[in-house]
Amino acid sequence: MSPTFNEQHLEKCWNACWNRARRPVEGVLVSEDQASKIAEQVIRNMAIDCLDGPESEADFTAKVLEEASSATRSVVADQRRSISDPQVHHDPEDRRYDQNLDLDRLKKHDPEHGFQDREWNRLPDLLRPLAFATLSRKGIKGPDAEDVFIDTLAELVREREDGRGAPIMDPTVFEEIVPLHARIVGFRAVDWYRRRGTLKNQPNNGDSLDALTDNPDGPVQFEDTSADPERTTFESIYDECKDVLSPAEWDLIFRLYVAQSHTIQDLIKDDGFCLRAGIKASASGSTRRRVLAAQVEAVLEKMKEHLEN
Amino acid sequence: MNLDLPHHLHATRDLLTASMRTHSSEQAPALPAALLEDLTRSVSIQSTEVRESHFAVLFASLRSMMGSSTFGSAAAAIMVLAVASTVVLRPDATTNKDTFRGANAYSAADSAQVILVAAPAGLQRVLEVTTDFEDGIFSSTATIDGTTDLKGARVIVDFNAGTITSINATGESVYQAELSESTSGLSLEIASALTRL
Repeated sequence: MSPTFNEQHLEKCWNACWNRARRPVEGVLVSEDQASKIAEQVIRNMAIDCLDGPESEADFTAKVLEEASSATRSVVADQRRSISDPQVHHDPEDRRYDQNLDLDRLKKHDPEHGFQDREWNRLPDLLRPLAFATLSRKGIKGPDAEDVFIDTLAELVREREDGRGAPIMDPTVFEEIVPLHARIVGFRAVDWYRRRGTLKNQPNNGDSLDALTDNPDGPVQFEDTSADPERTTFESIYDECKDVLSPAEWDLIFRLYVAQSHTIQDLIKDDGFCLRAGIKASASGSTRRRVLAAQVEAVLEKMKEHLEN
Repeated sequence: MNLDLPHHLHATRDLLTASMRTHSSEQAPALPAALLEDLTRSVSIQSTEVRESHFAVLFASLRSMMGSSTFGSAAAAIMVLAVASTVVLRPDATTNKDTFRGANAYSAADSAQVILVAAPAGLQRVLEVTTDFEDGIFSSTATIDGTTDLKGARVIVDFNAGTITSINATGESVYQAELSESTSGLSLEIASALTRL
């Protein structure tokens, strides 16, 4: 499917891209000028990528947003590294903790002794209040919460079986540790309930214990999605569901709900769109509406099922 | 948006609706006009038929260059050289700082031209999209014939002869060099040749 770079879509894409560049992750804030430069370069690069082959608006947008976030995080990390100040570009309005730690020091790994930099002494105090708040919401308190918390710290430095190394090596900027740790806390909370044998009546219990505990990137949904806002961005949703929907289905759902560039009435009136959706040109407005509504429901059902499993 | 969905699908719909969220109290600046213009141009390029395999190789090479760590400095060099050449050619020209390529800074008639001779199909468009040279600076021709009779300063990139030549406004050849084997440096070679005028 060829991209349809209408101005309205580009405006929305630009706004979202600029916002991703301005705040690539909660707690990071770059200047408006720098965000503009990054956003423009990212969109230019992605537009050039379109020369390689077919794209859709949804695909283009997801790539732009992912690249904007990734590029900005790299820029921020480089600047922090170059002047040895982990606080550069930290959002002054972020009150979750006092100061960033030096991520490069946290990542320092000794083949014999593991992660032993002194910066690790400061990490538990920084993460504890955030983790305890999450655990408390899940009903885990006191010594139980402390046990779970210690487990989560150990998991940050534990080598993963798939060869991707320890989770602490994943972030590009320190602020990413917070959602990463929150995700681990969520998994360990479920694990704790399972061990207690009381998980049966808890929300979000999957079929497989392994799926819950061994794959922190797996698409398991917890009731507290605010703990990991990164997973509700369009680029992450697209990444998870990309192969579940056809390009035409993505086009439908993207226009209606993501970009919100069209109403169902707009689509009903669009002969070309209806034709691509398999609706005969002679079909009445009510027929078109019925068919498109059925397609929307089917698409949302597929996405819901995929996101929950 | 105005569909009556079953209740159990509302959460999924709402997830999508909020997925391109922006900051609640902050407005992004307007989409740069030059970016919009360039994107429109890149889409028209996409629909252009690519008839020769050279294009894919060349384009891949340029893409590779853009992805390399040296691209930043190369791009900066191109910008400096391109701007410098503009100043050399027409010191009183006022560039439009609101546009990425300084569009309308000066007319094609009184600016240098870059003529691509026997270039691989699509190269001109790739250069227009991936570099910061002025709009309309590039043109293509199949043979070298006639390029020497043209008026005005020009750079001739001859892929048959493998040379790049700078000819000033009086028709005098002031610079010539062999084209390098690597296409990744082509933009820099053109920028360098422009500065000789």
